[in-house]
Formats: sequence, C-alpha cells, structure tokens
Amino acid sequence: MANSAVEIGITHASHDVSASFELGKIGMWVFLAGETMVFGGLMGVFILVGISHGGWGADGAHVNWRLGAINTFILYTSSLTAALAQGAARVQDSARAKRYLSATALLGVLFLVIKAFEYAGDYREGFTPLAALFWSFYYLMTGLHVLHLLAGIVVIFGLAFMVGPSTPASWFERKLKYVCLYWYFVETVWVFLFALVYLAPTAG
Amino acid sequence: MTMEQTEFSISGSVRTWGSLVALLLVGALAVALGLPRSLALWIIFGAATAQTYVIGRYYMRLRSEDVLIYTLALLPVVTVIILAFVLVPDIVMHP
Amino acid sequence: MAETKPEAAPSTDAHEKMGFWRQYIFSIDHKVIGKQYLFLGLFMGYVGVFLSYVFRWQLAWPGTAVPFWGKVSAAQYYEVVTMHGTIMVFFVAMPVLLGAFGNFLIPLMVGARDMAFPRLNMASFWTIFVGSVLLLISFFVPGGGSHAGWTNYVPLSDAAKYLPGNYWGGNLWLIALAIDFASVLMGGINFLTTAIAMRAPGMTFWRMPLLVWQELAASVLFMLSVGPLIAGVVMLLFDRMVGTGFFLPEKGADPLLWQHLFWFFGHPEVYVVAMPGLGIVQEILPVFSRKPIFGYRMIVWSVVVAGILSFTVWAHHMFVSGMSPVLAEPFSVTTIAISIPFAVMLFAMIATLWRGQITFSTPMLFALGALANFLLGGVTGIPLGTNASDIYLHDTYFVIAHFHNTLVPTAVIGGFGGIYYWFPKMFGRMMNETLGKLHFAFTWVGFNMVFVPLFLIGLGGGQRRIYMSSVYTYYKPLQPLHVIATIGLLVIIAGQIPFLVNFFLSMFRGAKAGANPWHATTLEWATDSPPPHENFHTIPTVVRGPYEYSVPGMDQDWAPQAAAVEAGAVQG
Repeated sequence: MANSAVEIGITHASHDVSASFELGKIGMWVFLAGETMVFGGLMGVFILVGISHGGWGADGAHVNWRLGAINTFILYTSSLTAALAQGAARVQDSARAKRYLSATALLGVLFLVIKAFEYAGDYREGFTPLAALFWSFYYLMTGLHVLHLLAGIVVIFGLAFMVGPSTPASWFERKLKYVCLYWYFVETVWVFLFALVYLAPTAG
Repeated sequence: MTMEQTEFSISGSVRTWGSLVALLLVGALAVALGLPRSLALWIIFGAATAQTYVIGRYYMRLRSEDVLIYTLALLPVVTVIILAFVLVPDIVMHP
Repeated sequence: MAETKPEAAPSTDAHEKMGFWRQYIFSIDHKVIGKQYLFLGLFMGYVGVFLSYVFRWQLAWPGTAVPFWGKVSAAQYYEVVTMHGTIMVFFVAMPVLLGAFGNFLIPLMVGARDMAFPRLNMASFWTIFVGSVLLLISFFVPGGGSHAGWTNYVPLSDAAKYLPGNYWGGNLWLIALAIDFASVLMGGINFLTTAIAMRAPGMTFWRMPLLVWQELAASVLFMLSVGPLIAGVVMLLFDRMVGTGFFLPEKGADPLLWQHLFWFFGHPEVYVVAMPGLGIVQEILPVFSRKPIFGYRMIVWSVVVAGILSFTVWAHHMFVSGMSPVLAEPFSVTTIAISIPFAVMLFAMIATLWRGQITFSTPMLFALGALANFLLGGVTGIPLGTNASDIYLHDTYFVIAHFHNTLVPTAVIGGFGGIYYWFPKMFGRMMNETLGKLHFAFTWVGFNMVFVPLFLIGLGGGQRRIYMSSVYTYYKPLQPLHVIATIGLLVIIAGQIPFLVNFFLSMFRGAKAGANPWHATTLEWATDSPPPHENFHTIPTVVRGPYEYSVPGMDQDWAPQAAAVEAGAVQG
C-alpha cells in the first residue's frame, strides 16, 4: 500500500511532517550512519595505535601508494559517472543514465582488479597480514572496503539489469539516488583510507 | 520541507571530479616530494577533509537536505571522536 | 511530496491467495514477523533459563549431579554462564523487545500499513534466526560453546592457546554475534524510517506513544554504538583465525582495547534493552490507572538525555581493569549523572499511579513489579557507578544482582506484561487472568528470591564466575544464600508452566477479544483484533495525544487518539 497520507489525500499537511520525507533516502542514511560507526571505529583505533607507536615507521613504508593513487583516481572517475547518471536520470534519459551507471560499476571492477594485483604484489614481497600490525590493519580495512565496493557493484549491476524501456523514469531516478548515495559513501571511506593507510605512513 | 535541488549538470559534475583529482594530487605530491613529516601529514589530512567536504556538498547534496539527514551524517562522526578521545589515555599513552 | 514505493503491497484478495509459506514463514507482514520474533525469543529465553538452572544448581550444591544434565565440570560451568548471558542479552531481550514488540506495534501505533521496508524486515528476522541457530550449534562443536564469558575478554578469548579446546565455540560465538548485530541494524533502519516518514495524518512526534519513542531511542543508541564493536569482533576473528595480533599483549597490543570497544557498545546496549522495556510499562500504567502518563514530554527528554549520556559512561565497567586512573573520576561523574534522567522517568511513572483508578490486571501486575524492581536495580547502580565503592563490589554477585534487577524487570517482567497486554491484539483472544496472576506471583516472587540473596552475597565479598565456591573458606557463610537463590529459580521455572499453558491454550481457545478490550487510547486498539493484513480499513486521523484518560468533562473515561471514522468513509 502507498504512503498513508498520499492515499487518502490529506490536505492539512501542515500538521503532517512525515509527508515530506522520502522512505528510501532516510533508510539509506540510517544505514550509512551505522556503517560510518564501523569504519570510523576501525580508523579511530588505527590512528590511536599508530600514534602510540610513534607512527608506523618501517612497517608502513612499503605500502604501494602509487597504485593506491591510481585506484583513487579510478574511484573518483566512477563517482563522476555516477553523478552523470543522476544528471541523465533527472532529465528522464534512462538509457543514458543506464550507460553511465554501468560505467560506474565497470570502473569499480577495475578498482578491484588493480587491488588484487596490489595484494598479490604485497604478498610476494612478504607483506602478509601477519608481517606486522600495520599490515594486519591494512588488509582488514582495505578488505572491508573491498567487500563494500563489491556489494555496491552487485547492486548497481542489479539495478541496471532491472531497468528496461518500460521502467518509469522517476522510479529509476529515485533508486539511482539511493544507490549513488551508497557509492559516494564508499568513496568517502576510501578518501580516508587512502590518506591513513597509503599516504600518512609513507610521508616524510 | 525538503525540495531536492538535484543539479548534477555535466559541467557541475566534471568540476567536482576535477577538484577531487586536484586534491588527490596535492596529497600524493606531499608524499612524492618527500616533504617533512608533520607538514606532509597536515597537507594529507587537510586534502582528505576537503575531499570529504566536496563529496558531501556536491555529490551527496548534504546542504539541501533536512536537518534530520545532517544529524544522521554528523552524529556518528561525533560519537567516534568521543570514543577516540577516551581511548587516548589507555591506547596512546600506555600508562 | 510524499514518495510512494512502485510496488504496491498485495491487495487483500491477493494476500488470501498466498500459500502457507509466503503467509506464515516468509511473510513480509510486520505483524507476522513480530510474532516470529516473539516465538524465537521465547524459545531462546527458555534455553537461557535452562542454562541458569544448571549453573545455579552447581552454585547451591557444588559437585552434585544436576538433574537432566549430570555433573558440571569447570569448563561446562563457564560455558553455561557465558552462553546464558549471551543468549539472554542478544538472542532474547533484543529480539523480543525490539523485534517482537517493535515490529508488531510501531506501524500500528503510528498509523501505518506496514514498515517502510517489509522485505528488509523479513530479512532481519531470518538473519537473527540464522544467528540463533549458529549459537546453538556451538554447543555441539568440539569443545562446546564459548567459555570466555559473555563479555569475551581478551587475551583469554584471543587465541586458541589460552582457552584450549574452545576454538570453534569461540569463533561461532563471534560470528553469531556479528549476525545478530546485522539483524538489529536492519530492524533499526525500518523502525526509524517508518516512524519518521509513515505516520498517519495528525500523528505528530509529540503524539506518538512512549513505546515508539523508546524503540526509536533504542534503535539510535544501537546504531551509534555497535559499529566499533563490529570492528572489534572482526579484529578478534582475525586474531583467532588468521593469527594477527590486534589484541595480543605479546605482539604489542593493549588487551584493554577490546574492553573499551566492547563496553562502548555494551553500555548503550543495556539501555537498548531497558528503554523498550520501560516503554511497555509506560504503555500499561496509564491504561490500568485510567490516568494520563505523568510528564509525557519530560519522559521523552529524559530518554534523549539518558541516550546521549549513555555514550559517556562505559568505563564504569572497567574501573578495576587497569585502565588509566585518569578515566576513573570523569566516568564516575557521568554515571551518577545518568541516574538522573532515569529517576525522572521513574518518578513520572509513579506519579502516573497517584490517585489513579487502579485495576490489578495481569499486565498491570507485571508493570508494577517491573517498576518496583527497576527502582531497586537503579539505586544499586550507584555504588557500582562510583569508582571508590566499585573497587570492592566489582566482579561480585552485587553486580549480577544489580544488572538482573534492571534488565529482568524491563526485558522479562516488562516483556511478560507486554505479552499479556497485547496478546488480545496479536491473537484476537484473551489470556486467562487466573493463570496469568499465578504466573506473575511465581515469577516475581521467585525473581526476588533469587536476587536479593545475591546482593547480600556480593556485599559479603562473594566473587562471581567461581565454579566451585566450596573450596573457599570465606564463601562458606554465604553458601545458604546460594541455596535460597536456587530455590527461587525453581519457583520461577515452576511459574512458567501456567504461562505456557495459558499462552498456547488461549491462542486457540481463549475468549474472543474485541478490538479494544482494555479501553485504551492508542492507535493499535482502533482496529480489529487481530488487525487485518493492511492494519486499518481506513487510515485514522489523529486528533489528540496518546494518554487521554479521565479528561474532565468527558462522558467516558478515555478518548481514543483517532477521530471517529464516519459511516461510508472511503476505504483506505
């Protein structure tokens, strides 16, 4: 059944605050708030433990920040395509939005491929999760991020798959908004991960 | 009342992408140029904060959102800071 | 403007044609899901009670064989106390208070047709079902269920070498918990979105029943506190299964980190349990006093303040852990401060009763019993919350008695009250009052028989988590108290028989209940018992607050929240 206020056409909306809220948007933000606590908690612990050791020192010096920077660039481009998808959906151009959306997912896959290369390279040089506490954190945090990115890719492909010529454009625009919100969140997490785990340990 | 100002114009999105990439380069350069550690850290985290602001403002459209959404976005950050603050005597200072 | 989901819920006709599996097992109807949570929670609750029976027998008569179990070994003792706490907090209290009552009541109380995300709702139930099954399976893996205490402290829980033979039990414990957390997070998304965005016309925030406020506060508290512990659980799983050293002292880590992460969540968690329990009591008291709740807005603000403060008190669980002494005073101050909003709430609840027209029905008895014991639990928190006295009391039975006198009154006694109160709405039939009062008497008297002696044991220095107290001479004078406590538990267990008989018999043979047998004002009573699939034939329009009882000048002693529906109104 539809939202109650709409279905009986209540006009005294001045008392009805709830009519102006979008279900999916609130739901997504509540979800993201919880996720922020998970990543925030991890990062907070990482920062504090790092400070307590006076920096990660030699252990953190071998992280492949160049590859990380390339991946960051790829992720930024993927969020550009996501925003372009939202722009296309806003003018009801579902076909173009769908193409941009797929590009977003493909760039996400590229990110994962490069990450796999990076992990393989680290492993070959002996930097396993057991090599040092820094590397334990590195694999845990980037691994968790990878899982979230993967989930986002799956959802994006799912959404793109569900959109056909008969799909109402407004429906697609709304769902796209929520999915892209999630994508921007995963990107924000990466912003901090990149700074904390790639740049900061290798700085100076 | 929340009216969505979903701009997402091509030029706006590309400009956002451009500023993100520029900030990325700033952070990367701080490492590549081998700047002294504390200066580099300030630049790195300053750039990260700026990137978060850009994403929040132009992609997530946080400014046009209801105060409720703002709260949902900010509360976790505040809560994590409380946690980190209390952990300092034990985790950082090793009494 | 208001957004609609593109897929409309099935119409009543389509709903009736749904097969058994879609209608009762994989249902997306919040009312069915709420009942599923209730049955699961009750089942796990009785598993938890059985575990307490085992260790309480061992405590009263150490070394003897427990009927239906056998002799308790040391490892088994720690297994049963660990699993008792774990099950009760994570797999009984939360599923029942949030999953059952929250799911069943929130849409009805705010005047919505269902939760915002019904399929997510169904997923949340099956998630916790999987978590519960995994935890129960851990009893049967080699080494049995986790022995590391419900708080799972490191380094004991960190590596197989510290707790040999408990490898899979410990791993399953962590995984089951993570799954449980995911389920409650999913539920929270639904609760918050539904209450924010799907209220009926006229249902402003300040007209919502207090139970809804409490459920929302609990959801927010959980969402903001569980993240760092999820991080910690993953770190601990890595330590155990991959061999990292996030918490291992010998690898340079601080084991206190786990305690901080656990209690940062653990303290808001107890309010996640207490708040809905208090909310249930706050729903029952006005109805059976025929008086509005005293200080409705004051109670809401108290909940908000308590919620905020709950993030600043957690280290009172760690006063003797070896943490930095710098933290002792601030956390004592915040802990004493948090007693204030709760005191305000309790005074408001007592004032609700003052000069009311009290009916001692079964729900009311449970509500009053909950109130009385929560008061006892609350004041006994003060000597625990101040670091000076806690140095003596920590890890004694005083702590156990304190938290059982806060968690049980809210989750169990309040929970039972809620079951009796909303059973007519859920199942369309009345429960038997005589059996209900018998259940109350045995449960409440038995409960106090268990825990009043435990306060005394604690004051006498009786340490907790001791398998064979008879080896300690100092324990000998305290031993009779353990016997009394165990007898009290047997009284509680006996009292469950009238409840179970009543619960199942009334479901099928109870007197048919009308829409509003209690003459209550909140919206769930404005529809049929049980409600139709779409909750309301016509979405009500709310015209007044939720506790308009005995308003001067009115004909009857109650005024329903919703405006009366006119004849011939359009079908919603």
